[in-house]
Amino acid sequence: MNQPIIKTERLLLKSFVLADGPEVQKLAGNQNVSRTTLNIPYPYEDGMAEQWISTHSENWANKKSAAFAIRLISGHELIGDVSLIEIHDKQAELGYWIGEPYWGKGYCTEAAKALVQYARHEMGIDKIVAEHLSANPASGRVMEKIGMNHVCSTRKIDRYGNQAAIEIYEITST
Amino acid sequence: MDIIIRSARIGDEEAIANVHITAWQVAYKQFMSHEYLSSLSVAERTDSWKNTLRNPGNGKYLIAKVSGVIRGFAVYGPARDEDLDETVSELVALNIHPDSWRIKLGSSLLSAVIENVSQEQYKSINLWVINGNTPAIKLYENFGFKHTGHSKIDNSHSGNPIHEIRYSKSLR
Repeated sequence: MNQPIIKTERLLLKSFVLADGPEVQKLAGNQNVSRTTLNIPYPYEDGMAEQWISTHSENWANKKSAAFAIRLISGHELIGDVSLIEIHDKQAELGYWIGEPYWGKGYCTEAAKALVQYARHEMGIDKIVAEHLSANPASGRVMEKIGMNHVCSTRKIDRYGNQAAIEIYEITST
Repeated sequence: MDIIIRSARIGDEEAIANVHITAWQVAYKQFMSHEYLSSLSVAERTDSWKNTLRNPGNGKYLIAKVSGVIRGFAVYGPARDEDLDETVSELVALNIHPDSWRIKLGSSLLSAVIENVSQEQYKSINLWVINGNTPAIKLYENFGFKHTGHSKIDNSHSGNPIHEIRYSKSLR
């Protein structure tokens, strides 16, 4: 069963294809993007994006995670990723990144809002959590705009093995 | 107004039946009799869709939701015509509720179908359309479908003979 396609006012969310690899590497491999996240590797080496994309269809089929490429409806170019990971027991974690050329236009909020709606109404997920580096408040603003509530501040080990301050958000179905 | 396109599943049958019948009653009124179209029953069509979704066979079923409501569906699978081999797929049905005709929902669903069949073993996709169904033919031609020259008279739907023509699009 294929992943769904979600169309918002300006964006198309759909599965990544292997041919997206070079663009993912270029956008997510930009240090300005990766340093805003806990998980994106840096440097982002050749083949990493294709390896990541190749896990998606099995993870979708097994209901473990759902990664969506974010594309502009106008022009179809790839601008980022919005994903649900750690899906189990009607819960999931939301994650996202947007390529630097596309920052500041509300695309992340638009994409995350649509995916959260899909998760709640179509996948039966009733609790979604998300976390962001305290040093990246822009990500927290996305969480607030889509109706998530701040739960706590804590620390987590980042990609370099350092303690990083993070903020935890969640949204539950009422 | 978000649009969602996903595989159909059990539980969608009544909404699909509703789209199916409403779309036919409006789109096919110049091709099928009023008596036949007004006799179509949502309850009966719901039962038949429930059965289809439980036993999909080779068919694949996509639905399109607009603002949370199912407003369109598409059915596709391997081509059923005897002169075609396993490299040919077929768009068996594409129906959109008349309230959603203006938002290009048919285009969104057709794009999804073409993308899905392109990822399978198929080299082309075929379809049958009622001769004279101009909006549908225009949509298919916009997507690169071309009339193959084949035609047939289908008596199975409404009692009235329906003249259908075959279109095909290469996926390579």
